[in-house]
Amino acid sequence: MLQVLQISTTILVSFAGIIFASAEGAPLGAVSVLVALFSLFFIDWQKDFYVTTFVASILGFCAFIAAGIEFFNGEIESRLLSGGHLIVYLTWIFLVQKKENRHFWWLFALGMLQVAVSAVLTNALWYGAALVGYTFLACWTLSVFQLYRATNDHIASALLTNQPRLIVGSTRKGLSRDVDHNLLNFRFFSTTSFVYVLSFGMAMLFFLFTPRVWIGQYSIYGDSPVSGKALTGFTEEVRLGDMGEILENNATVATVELYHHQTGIRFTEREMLDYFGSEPLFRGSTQEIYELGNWSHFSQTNLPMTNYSETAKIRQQIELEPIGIRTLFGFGNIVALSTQSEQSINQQPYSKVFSRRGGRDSRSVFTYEVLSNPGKVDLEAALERLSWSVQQKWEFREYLNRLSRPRRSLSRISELSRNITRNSTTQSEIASQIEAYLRDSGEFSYSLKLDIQDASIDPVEDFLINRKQGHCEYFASAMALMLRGNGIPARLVTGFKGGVQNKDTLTLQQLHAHSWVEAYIDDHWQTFDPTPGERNDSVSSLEGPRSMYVNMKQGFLNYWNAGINMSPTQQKEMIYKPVEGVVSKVGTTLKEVFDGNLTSVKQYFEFLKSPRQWVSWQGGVFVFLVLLFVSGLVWSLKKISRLLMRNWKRQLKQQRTYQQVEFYNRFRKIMHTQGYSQKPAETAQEFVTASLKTLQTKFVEVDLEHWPEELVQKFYQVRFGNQPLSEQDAEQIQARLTKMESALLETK
Amino acid sequence: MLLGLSLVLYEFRTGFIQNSLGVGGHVAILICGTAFSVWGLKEIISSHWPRFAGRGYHFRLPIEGGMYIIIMIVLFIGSLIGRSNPLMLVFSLMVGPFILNGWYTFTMLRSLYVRREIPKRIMAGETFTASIVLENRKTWPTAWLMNVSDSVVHASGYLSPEVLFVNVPPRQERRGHYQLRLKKRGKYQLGPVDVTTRFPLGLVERGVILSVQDELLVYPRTGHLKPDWRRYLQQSIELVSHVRPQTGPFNDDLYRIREYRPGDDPRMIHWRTSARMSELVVCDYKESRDRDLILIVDPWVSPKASDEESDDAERALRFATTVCMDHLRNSRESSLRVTLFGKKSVHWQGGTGDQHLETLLDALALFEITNKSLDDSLFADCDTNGRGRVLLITTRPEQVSKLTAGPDLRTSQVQVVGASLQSISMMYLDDVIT
Repeated sequence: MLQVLQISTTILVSFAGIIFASAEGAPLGAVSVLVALFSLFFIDWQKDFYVTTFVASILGFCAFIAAGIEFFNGEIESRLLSGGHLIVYLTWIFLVQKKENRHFWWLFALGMLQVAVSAVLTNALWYGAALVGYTFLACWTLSVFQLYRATNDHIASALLTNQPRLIVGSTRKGLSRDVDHNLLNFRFFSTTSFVYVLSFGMAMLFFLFTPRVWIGQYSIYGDSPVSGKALTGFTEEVRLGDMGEILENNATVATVELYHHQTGIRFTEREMLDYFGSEPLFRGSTQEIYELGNWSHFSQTNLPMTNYSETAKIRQQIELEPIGIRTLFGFGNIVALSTQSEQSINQQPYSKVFSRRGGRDSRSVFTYEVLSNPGKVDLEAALERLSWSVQQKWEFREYLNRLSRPRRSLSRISELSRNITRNSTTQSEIASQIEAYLRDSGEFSYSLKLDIQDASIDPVEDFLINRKQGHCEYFASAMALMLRGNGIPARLVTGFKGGVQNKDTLTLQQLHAHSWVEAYIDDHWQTFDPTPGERNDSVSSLEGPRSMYVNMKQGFLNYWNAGINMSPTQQKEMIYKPVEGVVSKVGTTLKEVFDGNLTSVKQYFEFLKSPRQWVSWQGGVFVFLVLLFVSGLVWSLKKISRLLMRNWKRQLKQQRTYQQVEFYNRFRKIMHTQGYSQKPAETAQEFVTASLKTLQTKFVEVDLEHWPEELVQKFYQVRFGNQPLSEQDAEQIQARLTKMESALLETK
Repeated sequence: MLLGLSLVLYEFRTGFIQNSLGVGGHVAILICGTAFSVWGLKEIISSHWPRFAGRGYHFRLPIEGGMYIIIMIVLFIGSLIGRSNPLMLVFSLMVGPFILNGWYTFTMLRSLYVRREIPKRIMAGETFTASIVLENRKTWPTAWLMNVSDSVVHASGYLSPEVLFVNVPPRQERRGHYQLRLKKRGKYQLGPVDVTTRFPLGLVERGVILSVQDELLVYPRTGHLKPDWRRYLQQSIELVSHVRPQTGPFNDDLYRIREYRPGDDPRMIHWRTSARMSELVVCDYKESRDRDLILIVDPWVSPKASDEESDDAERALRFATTVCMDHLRNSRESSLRVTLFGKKSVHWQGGTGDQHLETLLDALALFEITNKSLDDSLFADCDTNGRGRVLLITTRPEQVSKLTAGPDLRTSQVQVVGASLQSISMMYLDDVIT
């Protein structure tokens, strides 16, 4: 069994190391595999070599120093990694020691911590799969460890040992096991698997129902406060790397239809294509503040949306799916937004970001209209800015100043930017030069891989200098920061690019999520998209028909993304409200049933009649509930029948012992008043014989000399002979008992 | 419990979860908080007042479980501060096994029955085996890694022998054994039995206390009588005037019959047996010097007894037990009377042979040492009618000698033996239990 434990621990530690290495994108964690194998063969099995506790302590000290240096010399992410590296070093140190019980436990704990640190470094789908595998392996290893430790401890301590405090003796522990049984048998494996499956189910319930009550306003990657709520690609915060999985997700976000606003006539397919072009950009949120891989939104006053419907020519009717965000999207030169819903629409004057406010967050689709005119994106907004007050203009200038200031810590980006654009003279040329450098130079490529090469530097620096591959967020972030390095106000814009056009309807999917750049040049916001064209190929490949494997993967991915990006609002919408709804519905149904209204029950029966519903999730829930009910019913019936049976037997016993021999009980009571009690071991005959020795004279006086013996015979007949007393006999006995009672009382 | 109460009170006061997650979250948090509170209260009650704890289920968090919880808390707080759902997932995947561990241990402990098989009486210092039978009456699941911890309680201490049952399949029973060596004489109470398990993950330990009661009587440990004891006894016989029983020729007892050997006295030939067996058979006689023995044991200790005094008193009882056993086994014709002078004095009168030895040993095992002062009742039973000897084993020989030195004829024949190691070591080798 020890060998199985050693092998399981080796696999567990190696697996944790691989997960950590994959999440970090560096090979350090994977070295654990080699160390674990070395430890297994040469330390655990061959016993050729091991590190003493003293040497291990020195190595541990060195590990702390190494991690400390890394911690104090790096930025936030690097600090996190230094913690992860320390865990890896400690794992190695425990591996190279001679293993006792505590070493196995420490290796398990350190492995778990490596997996936990990996959770911070990645949120890819593979991590979810690895986590499932790791937890099973951890459960198995812990079970084997528990079995080994319990049996081994007993064998080791099974000597006669004196216990100083317990001076009365000594003991030798015992161990009971079936000698012909292998301890690690099928029964053990099935028990462990069963426990794991239930644990996993329990864990999922915990994950879904644990309230997402985020503490404070801090992101794990930075020590600066964030103001947003949901962690999706379109909120007021963008974390580099977040969009990776969203870009592989084909869940629908919105559908768009176009109308001629003045006439109300719907756009034809051709007109739509002409207006949108091949890759329309649906603008959502802007991100102005950058720090260590995090973009966040510049806080501004929200103004209520005023309607300029008279001037607009095009009406974009957008149905937004419930994706848990308030930001609204629109295409082109937007004039205004409106909605028939109870929610109102606000706009932010400087960033031109639109959002919905008020009302209840609904699980239903939100429909709104975007009124726009042909022309460039900022055309209407530029006109609006002309009519601003002095204060607004001053604030806007401050806003621009903020967007044009490069951060000192990003000097390498600014330097690179200036080197690239040293031949350009105007801001417009500079912007085009940078866009071309990123998009067309061939130095950069599009990738959804999010590996970090140098965690000690800024992620955008890492992208520009080391990695040179990434998705749209990296390209857009790089361009925005490079523009700022040249003193040009720039901001990141998140939204959607492209879409699937089906006749006269355009469908936006999660995989169309995109980031690009807006730069304020010549008193206008100009749009730049530095992401290489490979992105469009990637998105197109995902839009088409897919194999079953891809669909399945996509299904898992959708669930994974839904869970891993779940915000408090989404949790409320996806988990708590449906549960609340079901409970409320069941309550209503029950109330109706009690009131005699069977409409709801009939609806349920109708539901059951439809075979299509049988394989739906509702069908699953129904079957589960029915099985639960049946099991509960069977369990209750068994309990009740057992209870009734016990009760009946007790009553029967009582009847036999007391009711049928009531006269004898009365006799005993009378004798008891005279100080004669029947002992438990005494038969009725013995009792009477013993008591008559002293009471014989009294019985003779009242002419009952031999009557007690006769009474005992009657008692035996009734009690054991199953011969009930005749009415006459019963009356006679009662009369004699009364006579006897009065005689004895007189004597007393 | 405090955590649960805090959750409920905080939610009632602020309605934080209700505002964040709606009525569903509000109800969920109230249910969780209440469940935590009730469970915590139950654990407190069961730990302080076990009789209110139903069948005696108890819960303990081993150090590994404590560490596991600390890691979970760190991950949970980290996920909330860092707004990290993946970290929350890792936390949840740790919580699941932890809860399942608790539930599974509880399920395994249900419908378990234990019985114990032990000898009724044993000698102090003897190693003996106790059998524990663990029965799993459930239809599911197998009971894994059940540690059955017995309790052996004596007035002066206790022991907790253990047996580990690796697995007991449903509707089956398994037998385990532990060995025990008890040093002190007296009555031992065995039970209750504590059945605990940590299977499968070792993060939570749950147990159930089952009332399986037994009693065990431990006799005083016997030692070895040295040749000097025999010599001492011979001397004492010479000193005592007695009437020899006329039970055989030459005033000796028939010892055995054996085949004739050249040189045997022809008068010793038993002719009737010789005729029957067709060979010469002689009667072999042995002089019997065994006399009736009255043994008075006075294991006195002072009110503030030191360990040495207690040792002397126990030694007196061990010596007395050894003498009694020796006498009853080796003396065929002489009787034994024993008086144990203590809190509740015991008078035992046996016949010849060792057929009543058990009652005497029971009395010696249960005898309570006294600190009461010396009086004449000590010698109430020492009249031998000149047929035997009186031996008094005492821890206060000086005081007793003063009494025996008096003119009373009854006490003058009493031989006093001190129970201290120094006094007794010449005659008696104490079998010390290590």
